[in-house]
Amino acid sequence: MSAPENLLEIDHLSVRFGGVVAINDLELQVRTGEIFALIGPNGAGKTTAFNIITGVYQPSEGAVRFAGVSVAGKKPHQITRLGIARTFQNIRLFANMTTLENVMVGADARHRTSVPGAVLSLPRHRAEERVGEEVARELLEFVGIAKGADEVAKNLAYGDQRRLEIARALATEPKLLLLDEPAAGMNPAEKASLQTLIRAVRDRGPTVLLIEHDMSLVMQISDRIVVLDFGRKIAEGIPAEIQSNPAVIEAYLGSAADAS
Amino acid sequence: MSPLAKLRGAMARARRAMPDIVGPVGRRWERLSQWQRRPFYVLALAIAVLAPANSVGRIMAPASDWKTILFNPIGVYILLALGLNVVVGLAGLLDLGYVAFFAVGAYTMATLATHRHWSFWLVLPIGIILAAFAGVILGAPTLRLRGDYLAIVTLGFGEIVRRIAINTNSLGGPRGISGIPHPPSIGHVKALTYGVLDPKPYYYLLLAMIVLVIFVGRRLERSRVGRSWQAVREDEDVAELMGVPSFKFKLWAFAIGASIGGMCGVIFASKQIAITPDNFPFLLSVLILAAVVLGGSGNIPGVILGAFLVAWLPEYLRDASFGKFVVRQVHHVLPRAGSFSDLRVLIFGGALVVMMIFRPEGLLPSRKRRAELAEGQGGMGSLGGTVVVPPPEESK
Ligand SMILES: Nc1ncnc2c1ncn2[C@@H]1O[C@H](COP(=O)(O)OP(=O)(O)OP(=O)(O)O)[C@@H](O)[C@H]1O
Ligand SMILES: [Mg+2]
Repeated sequence: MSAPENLLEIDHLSVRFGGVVAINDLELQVRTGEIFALIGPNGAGKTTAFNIITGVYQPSEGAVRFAGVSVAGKKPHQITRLGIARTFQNIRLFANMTTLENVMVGADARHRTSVPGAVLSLPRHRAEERVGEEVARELLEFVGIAKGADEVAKNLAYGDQRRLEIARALATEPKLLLLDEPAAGMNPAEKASLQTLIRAVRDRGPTVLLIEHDMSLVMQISDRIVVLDFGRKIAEGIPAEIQSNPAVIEAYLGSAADAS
Repeated sequence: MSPLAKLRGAMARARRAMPDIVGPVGRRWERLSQWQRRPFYVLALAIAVLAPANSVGRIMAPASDWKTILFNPIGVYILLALGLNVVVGLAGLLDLGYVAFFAVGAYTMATLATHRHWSFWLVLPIGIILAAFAGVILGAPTLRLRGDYLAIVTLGFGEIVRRIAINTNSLGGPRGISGIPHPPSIGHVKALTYGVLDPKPYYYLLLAMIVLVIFVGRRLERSRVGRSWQAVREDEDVAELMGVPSFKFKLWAFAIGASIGGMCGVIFASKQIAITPDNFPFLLSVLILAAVVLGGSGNIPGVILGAFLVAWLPEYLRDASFGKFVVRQVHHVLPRAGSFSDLRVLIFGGALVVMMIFRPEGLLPSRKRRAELAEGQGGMGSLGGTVVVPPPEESK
């Protein structure tokens, strides 16, 4: 069985919040195995697209299909089990849990132990605890924050918190990883190593859908790019095409102050 | 600077001036391994087993029957508080009607044992299951509500259950049910012979259940279930997005808490001979909640300490010279204020307010609760409110 060409398909998607049209008739396909970037000025509707894909909001119109399955009406935790994981534009860790525990919550998405298993300490519970911790430690190693495993998450350095969000998302074993501005607030050195990390993530397996304002990062890392402006798709293509697209330049110049 | 801001500043200064004894001890405790902690558990159990001794009673309750109050209220409150702690402390859900499950257990025992002559040992699991079922019935439609809204619904539930008892003839109406048989005795051991006079065997029965509940609670805390509860407490939306089926685990918390309440109710009724709806007032829900929050929501030793104080202090002070002194003083101002037990609610209210100013995280908080509190989520925050802890600069 070969993997479907398109892992994620967004079909005529529109999202309205009262009078605000956050997404307007969006068409988009993410292919298995690529790094796909979603860019656009502030308020273009990028985070809203993530919120629709992960089931936080329901679309006003249109459909989202993941690996051929519609996500409509599914709860966020069910969508996570389907194989979509995400990070957040404003870091949202479980601040008072340790680094390791944060990642173990992610790993728990693949576990089935409930109250009886935990109370009776059934073999499956013990196996899942052991595997969950192993997976979590390996992921902390992978994103490069293994030494902070027993720190309380909120005490980590800012860049490490962003890495922890990626580790926690990866622990849910996603086929598609959504990264919402992972480089925000990072210095150039941190951005460079983040770029390496994102490539390494893709090479591990998950397809990456990335929102990012840092253009040099986006242009270097992405296989394909879609540009949103006021909820509409204004361009789509490989980095070279996007860089020279007049509509894109116009959109970014029109809101030059935002293009940080 | 507004008077309120000034008051907050003064509160923050007062709090910092208090010596923190519990903090360092707690940190040392957390560093101990499972094995190193074992002697302390054994010691605590030994104290609990030896507690009904007359010599202890002479100190703890010089003027009343120590063994009786050791069963009720002390033991009963501790077991109830441990049950409510699963809901409030671990899952972070505010339940103001917890007494309902205690009542379900007690009425199960009263009806099945009195009318159908079923043995206590058979009724105990039935009471637990029925109470858990009541927890699911309450939780399933309401757990989508958050914070204050959930509190209001649970408050109503506690009252509904009491009203049903008052208005149902087969449950004895307002007069309740009497003639409830005691548990059949096991062998000829004195500690397992359940009679009318000696409260000790009932106390040991409660103690066994308390140990069981602690054991279960600890296992849950250190599992996927406990992690899910904490993740939901910290950020429910993100927990869902990380794959936590939050509704399912909240419902489990309700069911577990309810079943512990029901278990306590069955044991309570088996000693009581007669129960009436008056045994299950809203005040009991409040006292148990106060015990959880006062002791340190989410931390088992803290919750036990809180429940012990809430149960024992009023009994002790009623006869102690301090209690008499307080009653005399209050009678100067309010000549018709009544006895100490009438005043205890007032005194509790005052004590809770003072506690929330000086130690909002409770007497023995867990590390995590403390940290959550600093962000306005723990302690009284678990009561649905937001705690404002002024940053250090503000008091300068
Ligand atoms: N829950 C909501 N309720 C009302 N309006 C919303 C909501 N979420 C988003 N919006 C609006 O939808 C539009 C798109 O917002 P969105 O957060 O998706 O932008 P974005 O592309 O992620 O921007 P940024 O680069 O600043 O993160 C904005 O006008 C925003 O105000
Ligand atoms: Mg955004």
